[in-house]
Amino acid sequence: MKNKYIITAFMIILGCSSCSEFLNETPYNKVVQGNYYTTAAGIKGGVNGLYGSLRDIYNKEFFMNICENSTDISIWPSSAGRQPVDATTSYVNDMWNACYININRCNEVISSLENTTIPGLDNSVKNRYLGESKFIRALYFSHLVKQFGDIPMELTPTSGIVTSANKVSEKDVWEQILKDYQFAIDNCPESYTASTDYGRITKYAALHEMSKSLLTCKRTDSESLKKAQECAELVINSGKYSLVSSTWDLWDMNKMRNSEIILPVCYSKDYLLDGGAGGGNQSHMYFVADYTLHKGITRSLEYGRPWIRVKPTRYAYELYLNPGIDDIANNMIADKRAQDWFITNWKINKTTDYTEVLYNPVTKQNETVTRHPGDLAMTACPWDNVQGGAEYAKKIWPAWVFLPEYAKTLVQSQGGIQSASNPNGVWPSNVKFCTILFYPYLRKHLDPNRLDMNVAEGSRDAIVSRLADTYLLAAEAAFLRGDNNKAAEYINVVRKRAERTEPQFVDKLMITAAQVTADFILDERGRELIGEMQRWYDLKRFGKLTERMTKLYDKIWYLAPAYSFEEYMEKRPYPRNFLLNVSNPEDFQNNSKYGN
Amino acid sequence: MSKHLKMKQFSLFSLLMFFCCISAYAQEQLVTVNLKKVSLKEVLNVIEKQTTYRFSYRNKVVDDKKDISISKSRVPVNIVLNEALAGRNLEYSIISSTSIVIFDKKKEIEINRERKKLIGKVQDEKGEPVIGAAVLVKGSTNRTVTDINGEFQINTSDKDVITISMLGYVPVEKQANKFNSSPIVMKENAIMIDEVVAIGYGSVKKSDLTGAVANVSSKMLQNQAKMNDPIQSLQGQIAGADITSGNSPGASSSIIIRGYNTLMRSGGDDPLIIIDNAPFLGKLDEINPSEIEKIDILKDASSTAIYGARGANGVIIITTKRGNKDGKLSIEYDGYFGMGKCYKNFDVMDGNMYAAYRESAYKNNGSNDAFDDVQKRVIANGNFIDWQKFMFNNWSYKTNHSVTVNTSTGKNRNLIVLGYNSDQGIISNMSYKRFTGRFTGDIELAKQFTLGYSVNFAHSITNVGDDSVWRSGTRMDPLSELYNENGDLNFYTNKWMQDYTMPNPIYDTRKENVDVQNKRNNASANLYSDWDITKELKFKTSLTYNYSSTESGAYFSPNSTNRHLSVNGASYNKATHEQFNFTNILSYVKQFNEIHKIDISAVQDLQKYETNAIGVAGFDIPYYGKWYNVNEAQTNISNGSVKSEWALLSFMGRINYNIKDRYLFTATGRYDGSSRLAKGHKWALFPSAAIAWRISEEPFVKTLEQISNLKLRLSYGVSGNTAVQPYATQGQYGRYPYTFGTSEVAAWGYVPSLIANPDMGWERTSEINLGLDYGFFNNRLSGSVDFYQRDTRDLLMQRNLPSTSGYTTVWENVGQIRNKGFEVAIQGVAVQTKDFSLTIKGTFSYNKNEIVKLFNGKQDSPGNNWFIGKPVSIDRFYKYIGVWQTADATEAAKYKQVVGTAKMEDKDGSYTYTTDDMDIYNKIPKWLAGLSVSAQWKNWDMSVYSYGRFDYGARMGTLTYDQSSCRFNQIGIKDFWTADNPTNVHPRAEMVAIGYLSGSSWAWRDLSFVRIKNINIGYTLPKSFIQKFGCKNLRAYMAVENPFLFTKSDYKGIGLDPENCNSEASARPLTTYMVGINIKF
Repeated sequence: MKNKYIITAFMIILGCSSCSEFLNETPYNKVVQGNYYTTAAGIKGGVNGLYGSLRDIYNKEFFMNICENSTDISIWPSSAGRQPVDATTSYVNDMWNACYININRCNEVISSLENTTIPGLDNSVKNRYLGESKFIRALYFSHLVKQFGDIPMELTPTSGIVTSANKVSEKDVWEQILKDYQFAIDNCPESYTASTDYGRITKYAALHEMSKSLLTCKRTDSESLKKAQECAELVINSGKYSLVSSTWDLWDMNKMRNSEIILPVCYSKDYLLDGGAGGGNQSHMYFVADYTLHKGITRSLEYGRPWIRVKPTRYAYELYLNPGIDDIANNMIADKRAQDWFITNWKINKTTDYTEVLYNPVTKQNETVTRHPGDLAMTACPWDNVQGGAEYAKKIWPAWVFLPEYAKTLVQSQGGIQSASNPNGVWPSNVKFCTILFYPYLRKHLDPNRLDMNVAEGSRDAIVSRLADTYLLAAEAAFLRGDNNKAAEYINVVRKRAERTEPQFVDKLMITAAQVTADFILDERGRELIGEMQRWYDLKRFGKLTERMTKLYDKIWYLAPAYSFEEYMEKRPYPRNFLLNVSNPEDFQNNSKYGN
Repeated sequence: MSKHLKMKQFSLFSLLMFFCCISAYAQEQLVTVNLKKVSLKEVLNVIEKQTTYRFSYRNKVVDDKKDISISKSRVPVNIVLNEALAGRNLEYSIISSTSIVIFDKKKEIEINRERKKLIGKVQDEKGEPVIGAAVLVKGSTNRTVTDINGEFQINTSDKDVITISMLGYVPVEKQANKFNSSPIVMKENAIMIDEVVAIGYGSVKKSDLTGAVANVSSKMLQNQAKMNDPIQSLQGQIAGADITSGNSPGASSSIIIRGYNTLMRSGGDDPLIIIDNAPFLGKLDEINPSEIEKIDILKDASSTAIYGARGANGVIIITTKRGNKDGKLSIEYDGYFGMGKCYKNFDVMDGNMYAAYRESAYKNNGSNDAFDDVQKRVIANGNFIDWQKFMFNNWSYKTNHSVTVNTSTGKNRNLIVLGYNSDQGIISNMSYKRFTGRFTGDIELAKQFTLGYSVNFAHSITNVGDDSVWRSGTRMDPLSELYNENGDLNFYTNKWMQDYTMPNPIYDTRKENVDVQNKRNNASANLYSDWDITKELKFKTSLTYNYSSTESGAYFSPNSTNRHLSVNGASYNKATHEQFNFTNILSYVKQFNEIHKIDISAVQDLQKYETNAIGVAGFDIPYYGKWYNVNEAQTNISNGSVKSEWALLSFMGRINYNIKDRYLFTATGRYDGSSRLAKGHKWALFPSAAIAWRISEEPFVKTLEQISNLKLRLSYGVSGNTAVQPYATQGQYGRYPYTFGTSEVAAWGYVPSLIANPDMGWERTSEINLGLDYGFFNNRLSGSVDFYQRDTRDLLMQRNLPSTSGYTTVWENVGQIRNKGFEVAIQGVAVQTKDFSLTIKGTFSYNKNEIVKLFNGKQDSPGNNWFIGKPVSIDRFYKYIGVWQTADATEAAKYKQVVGTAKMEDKDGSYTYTTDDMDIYNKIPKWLAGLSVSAQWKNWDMSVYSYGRFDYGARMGTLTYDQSSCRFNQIGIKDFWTADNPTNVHPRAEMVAIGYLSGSSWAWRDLSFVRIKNINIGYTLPKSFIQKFGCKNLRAYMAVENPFLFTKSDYKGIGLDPENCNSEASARPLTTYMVGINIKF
């Protein structure tokens, strides 16, 4: 039978000739490991990816929690803040994972650059790529070492399945960080073409981080302090950066890529380039309090989407006060940052009129008052010195005036708030008190350029470093070296910008060398950098974390649910998730109060 | 011809009769005779010439007397025969269309004259006589068979018990004195020992089976539940199969056979489904149950080893209906309509209690300002919103229509099955529609060559809606106002809900706000040829191409929760899957003599799979648009595409060796290569062997009347699993976009996202199975028992890694899992009388799942929740032991807790909660049981079926969503801690969720349950009546689905469904009432 042979032959052909090829895998649609980083285009993609990975951290909610909340100036307003950190705290785990996953990516890129010859890649570009990659790796390590202390530190890419981790001392990690920053200083350019390469790591971004790192890890070493100051001064004197003259403009979304920014993490209005839905910079929501308690105000782009995650502490508000200089009655705080960087005024933004019945402080009777769209609806006068606040409230009646809740006692002692049944109270009927859900909140992260008020995906760049921070680093280094004059000089540069321009305030914020103390510098950093994910590190660097968290207890936890801070909390716990998956958890035992 | 021979003849014939389902032919063949003075033999000769009948008789009984004169024109044969035999003491019996037996009436009567004569008549359920049934006086050798009219005579005494048995029928037993004039009804037996069972690349008689194979025929299912997909109807019917199904319209069932034996997180445990020779590509709900002839489930590894690469989780072979050979046109319609309702709303707090809870939460956090204006107003006027009533009290509607057309010319047979199914859920934008068509044909081109095809098309549309409505509709604050003063729906129903950005969920139930649609098309074409090269040697080739596409479109209006007053958004994704299968089977069957029979198959199989996908998403469509307008979106937010491929190449062989029909041996070997595994690890051999001993065929057992079937089986086999994602051995880079420059230049980045494992190889499952098939009392009681131990080694798993390695998971071959258990299936005909019969079928299984080995042998993997000696699916919790009471304040402070909060057991007294304080809780049911009862009374039939899962539990997602916080209403809280009510039942009210509650045993519930899944009552109209309309069969029925549920824990009391309550966003269980009709022409 002829057919039989044909079929047999067919089966043999199928069976033998095609086996090996038939089972080969071609990854049509995926970039797979192997030789991707060995071409100029491939390695460029690798470096781009490292920049992209910075968005995994800057400014995610966990990043804000671990760097800003809870400190002496920022806390969780709700009772969630009652839970202190332990091994299961998710934001600690998130930070750990994000840093390590991206460190390995840096290692992949660095290793390819160092160990392979990449055709078509110019040596200077190669070194620049190396500088950028090493800078980013050092940035991740510096976060980890500042949060956790002794940590695993792999400098080569992971190959194969690795389940153990080697703990390295804090000191060794810092040495590596300094080495990487130094490499970036030596190999990254001073500047790029702004239109196409703004956002890349420059020599000065590395100098800034070098200065801060030295101040952190070699705070008692005079040579290092000298170098820290020099690094900061190199940035200040480079001529590449200058402070934005107006404190209001500094946070204007439309002027965000300004002369003060040293290193941003860029975001885009283009969703495709911004991580799609759920991507973007979402930090615009964290700081916003619930201002819609006023019936004439509706949620808007201008005032932000209230997530109520971060509340400035009473101590933070007080930092901006300058007794004897501020003009409370006219609602003018000498330090412009208080009113330019915080949302303190809200206008009627509904399209219809708003009416309410209020006790008129002049006619001394209840009246129906009508507010039109655009009228001032409410304002916050949150500073502790509420003397003169009553006058101010009368002046702008019937707009609501919010006092800090702790001013209640004072108001009570002065006969309370006026009403038909209490016509003799000193305080007019439009006086209200802040709550844990409503308070003046930070404007720095707001993003009115979103599609609409509820869109979460923001396009504001996150800031890694800006010049005002550099000035304060220079001041800190100078102060630690005993040069208080220089320190005061640098601090005054920052304070000068913050000063109101009305004649009665001019030069009122300037300080003298004698006024420079560690606490002053720390407070100034608080005033300048509040909400910029620096505070936890600042307090630790100054060695004042436990001190402030305990001494300022009442001013931090006022109203909000509190927990008591203990010294062991200065180092975060190794996350339980890590301990459960690592094969040598015994090397990473947490403080028993954290649990494992 | 002796009587014995005649009897043998009879039973042989009756066998034939049964399979052909032919009752009377005499009327169909007409003869014309014009005979004068002829002998009987001549009459018979004339008839033989004109018809297909051939007569058989003993020469002795047919005399040569020429005394017959008949003249008839075109009359049925029986008329001529009756006249011809009239003067003789002879009788005839038409056995088939080719055979009539003539025998001597007097002779039989004479032999049996000594005893008392019992006369009886045997009928089937339709009133047709049962011919050739064996009638036996129990405990004697006295036996006879029923004749052409179903009648018999036998000599007995009153005390004797008479048994009547017939292949394919449930045997009847009756005491002689209980017989009366009414006929004895025999019921068709669903379990047939000589049924043909699919075993993969072939089939065997059930009696020749050596492995553990369960099977269900469409006949068994047709009177039961009306299900969406064919697997769901197996719930409780197959011992050892754990079947669960979702509640939402169009939800597919999932089936786990003999426990979880892989650590893969999803899909790794799914059995292989074979339809018409090829692996099925689509989703289960794309199979219209009406298309199915039977389902065979291969359970043990010796059975599944022939599927090597994909057999480790069991194999389900679905055989679809094919055209009948009888050369007649038949049309069958089956349709039903049903309405369903939520059987119980979840037990949430009523308005007053919620208000108290909320007030207490605020007080606990130092605030007296618990309510906003709306809430205050609602408390004052008492108009609390019962969200569940508003959202979940609608009826659901389902309907199904199926038409089967069978046309055939004998050699060219075609079958068409068309189906339509529709299910409108209780939420208006959740529904399901399915159109299916299957066209099959078999063409006998030549005597030894058959060509066949099967073309299938399924089109389904699922409107998914937004699952979050299940949660929102349960959890929303009852202190709400649904409508504003103008009567329009409020977007936020109070200030509080606005603060937490929880919009009114009613918006999400409307199609104009949420329109999420999945459209699936599945088409397959199978072409096969059967070539009988010689009588023994056969060749079969089968080619299948399967194409499946999924289109998902989603549109969310600004009023949806998803878009939340932001601009509208839409997305559109399309994926296509293609599978190509080419199978060649060469088989050789030879019976050497009475003793040896051998059956050898050689198979080559090739599979290739490819998937392609593309998707876009955008915001801000400038007019009221749907997802298909996504191209108009003003903001493009994502786009992407995927392509992946895998291939499998296999060669296998099987030998079945049968000695004396008593000793059966099977050996198989399969050699598989998978593209998805690493180079050098691609190929593996999967062998198996089995033996079976049919004890009931042994002479010493054959004489025992009670035992009709007894078979002992022992098997061992190895099968594999390669279900990892393609390219997992190569590692992957992920795309990270970035922008540089003030002009926002795109910078696409690629960084490692998945680590490669260059050593990844096969996961192998070996299994030993010991089984016993039994049948007693003529198979009136039958079933099987199986014991097995299944070990899966080199588990493929996505193992967690410490992130310090740069990765959080990796695919790896690690460790070993063991499933050990037994299964019992039992079926019995409890009652069998003329008008009433009752059949009970039960299944029962126990499975112990255990991780035997993990990394480096004995190391637990707490990060994955895997522990040596524990099941693969567990939860770990602190033990909830009550509430910190006022007296415990100092102690509570050591745990950083305050009075009123949850108290967990601290086993080591360390004042911190660490993993050492946790207990392990099993999530896999250890016991499964199913029970179905079917009864028949005259023309009425009824079936009830139920199943249960036992000894397992879960943390209720429904209870742990935002647990304890007053932000939402809570389920099942009747008693909570306050200073005045120091209870330990539930901690104090909070403003935010308390993690310890979901991390403690507090929300753990034992899920053991028994569910009466379906009750179906039918009435078959009398034949005499419907025949007037040319109708062959007409049955009307009504059914109720999910009528009763019995549970162990309190969760039923609070309204939860034990099968679908782990997620807070799962659909409500419904009780559905249906009416239907089945009609056949």
